[in-house]
Amino acid sequence: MYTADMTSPDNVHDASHAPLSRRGAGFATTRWSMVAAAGVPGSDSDRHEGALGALCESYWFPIYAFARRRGASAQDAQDLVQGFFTRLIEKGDVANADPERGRFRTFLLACFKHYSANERERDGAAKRGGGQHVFALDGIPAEERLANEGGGELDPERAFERAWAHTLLETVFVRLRAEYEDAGKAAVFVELKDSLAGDGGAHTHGERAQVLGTTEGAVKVAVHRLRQRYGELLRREISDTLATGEDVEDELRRLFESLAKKS
Amino acid sequence: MTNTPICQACGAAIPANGALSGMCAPCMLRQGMQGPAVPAPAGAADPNTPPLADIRRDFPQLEILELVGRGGMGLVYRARQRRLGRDVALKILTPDLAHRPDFAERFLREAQAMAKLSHPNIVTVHDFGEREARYFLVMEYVDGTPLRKLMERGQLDGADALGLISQVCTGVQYAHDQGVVHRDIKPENILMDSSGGVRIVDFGLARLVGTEDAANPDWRLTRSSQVMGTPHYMAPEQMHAPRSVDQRADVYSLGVLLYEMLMGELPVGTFPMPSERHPWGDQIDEILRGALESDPARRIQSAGELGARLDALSTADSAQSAAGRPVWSGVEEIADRLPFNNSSDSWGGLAEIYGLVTIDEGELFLEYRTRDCLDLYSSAPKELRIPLTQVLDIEFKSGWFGGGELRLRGRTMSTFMDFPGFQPGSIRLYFKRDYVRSAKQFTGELQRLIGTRTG
Repeated sequence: MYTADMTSPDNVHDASHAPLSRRGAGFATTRWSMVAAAGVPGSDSDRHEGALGALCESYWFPIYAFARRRGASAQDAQDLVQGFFTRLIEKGDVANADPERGRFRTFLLACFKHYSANERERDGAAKRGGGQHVFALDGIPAEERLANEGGGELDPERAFERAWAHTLLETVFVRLRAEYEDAGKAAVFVELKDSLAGDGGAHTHGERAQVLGTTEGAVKVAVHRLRQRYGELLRREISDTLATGEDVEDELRRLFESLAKKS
Repeated sequence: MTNTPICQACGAAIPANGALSGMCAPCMLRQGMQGPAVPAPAGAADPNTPPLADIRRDFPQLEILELVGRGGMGLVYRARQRRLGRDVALKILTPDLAHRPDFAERFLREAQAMAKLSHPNIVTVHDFGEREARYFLVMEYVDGTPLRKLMERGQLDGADALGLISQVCTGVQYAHDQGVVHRDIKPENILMDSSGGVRIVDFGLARLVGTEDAANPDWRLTRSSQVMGTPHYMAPEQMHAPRSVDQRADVYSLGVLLYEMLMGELPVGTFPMPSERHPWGDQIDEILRGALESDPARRIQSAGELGARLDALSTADSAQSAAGRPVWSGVEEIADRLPFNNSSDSWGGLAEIYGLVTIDEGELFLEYRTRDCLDLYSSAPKELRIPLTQVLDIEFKSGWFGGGELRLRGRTMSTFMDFPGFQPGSIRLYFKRDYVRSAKQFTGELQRLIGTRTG
């Protein structure tokens, strides 16, 4: 049959498959494994610097949460974290703290611990050098986000993991919403987004169908599609922060556990 | 503590502001963890598929016969050109794609380039355009089988593989000479027609529907979307330096394809070379290494060269021994044993079940443990034995990420009763991508034993 198999699920990209790598050739498909394989950030190629920068831009908040939970004031945490990322992206010497380069999450925390340990011994003067093209950390929104998460008594490492999970969800959620908005389906997204948090909800399919001016059957299909796409984007985003050979489902489970645990 | 709203389902605090306001994070993660999707309700109309009547109305000069395919890029209909009396394929691109501002212009450019290709190994584009906000292509209709199907059925041997890829190379080289790069060569895009000829489909379409501008903020989005091409077959530069992509990316894809045809698996991780498994000698190894080279500068530079080297092999001894040797052997799989991994919605949705299902002495034997995500301990293993006579049927269903599920139905409502997540008379077992082939074999084996005809 002509192209009948275009629909076969084998054709669908598998976000959970391990990134490709070659013997000795260091090819990788996920953002983090690309960066990790390149060696010291910034040294080999600009494209990797861009990738590292993008990853940091997405995931700076958990580092901030860690710094705050360890006792730094909001202002101090902001300076420290800003300095860290500047150093990491521009100079890359901090990256040597974690030669193993496991997943991005553990790498980032290890580097930060190393960096802040050194910073404590120094005067604040050398903290910021340049930093013109590192993204600015917004102190106030960061504090609000911290408050939003709850869990004020958590130990810093756990706070970091929880913040990471939240950041991941937010990134994926925003991306998914943008897809729907781009397709002119913003209203559909707004109405159905609660289905991303499970089955229970204040509204039934019937009620939603009324709001959207469509049939219940169409709503069911739309919910199914939305969840499907969400799952795909979620796994792809996670996979982007993993190193070669690591399993997305494991990381997903791990992050779930960090949110499910009560402090 | 301030009065933060609490999630009804799990008790977690729900943020009142920020992007995730009103959304419960643990519940979202749990939802994300749901394995293969709950299937769409049967019979529900797909709001994204236009009714056939609409298509017929919009394309009056075609006799639209039936919808024959559905992919990431759009829908394919089989149709007949009334005046010319010939069968064609009408491909209608997904409307979502057309929202990008420069789409119309790019469509015109790419479709013109595709239409210029006229070669026995390439499916011809007869016409293209836009009608009622739908972009479409009218192409030659090929009654053939995608390579993917042939590979799955085990119908190709080593010599076939070499010959096929060589033909594909001829077509690809011709297109490259005309300035068109395919960008999405994979077994689904190559058809074998009834006379054994090879026809390549969707030349250049990936470029049309994707966007390669890495500076474009949409790029990260598109990387996640299906239309960007299958990662397994994509050359490294297609992923991280898309603007530098040229015809050598197709050579890479051809290499992956050749490898998969000869070895029965994708060249992923530390992968063995053909000489390690088959007595074919080093020449194929060398050719594969040349095609799979990450650095385009060190890769075999043209499809034509790849094809020529494969042709040279065909006359050599290695091909003689390759002939007649089936390649899709699936060496280490055991047809009657399958590991599975379920997340359960019972126990507050925080438990996971994993185990092994085996066919053993006329019984279906399920051995499993549960793991409670809150406390991280594994319970003692549980067992369930069901005589095969009590099993009505088994159905295999691919899941979204390449994993899948097996649905087992029992003869009575209480068969499988003790298994978690059971619904009257049936259970589902989910498994990961690595076990797809095992799952298919398992299904086949069980169906054979319980006397069901394979579907």
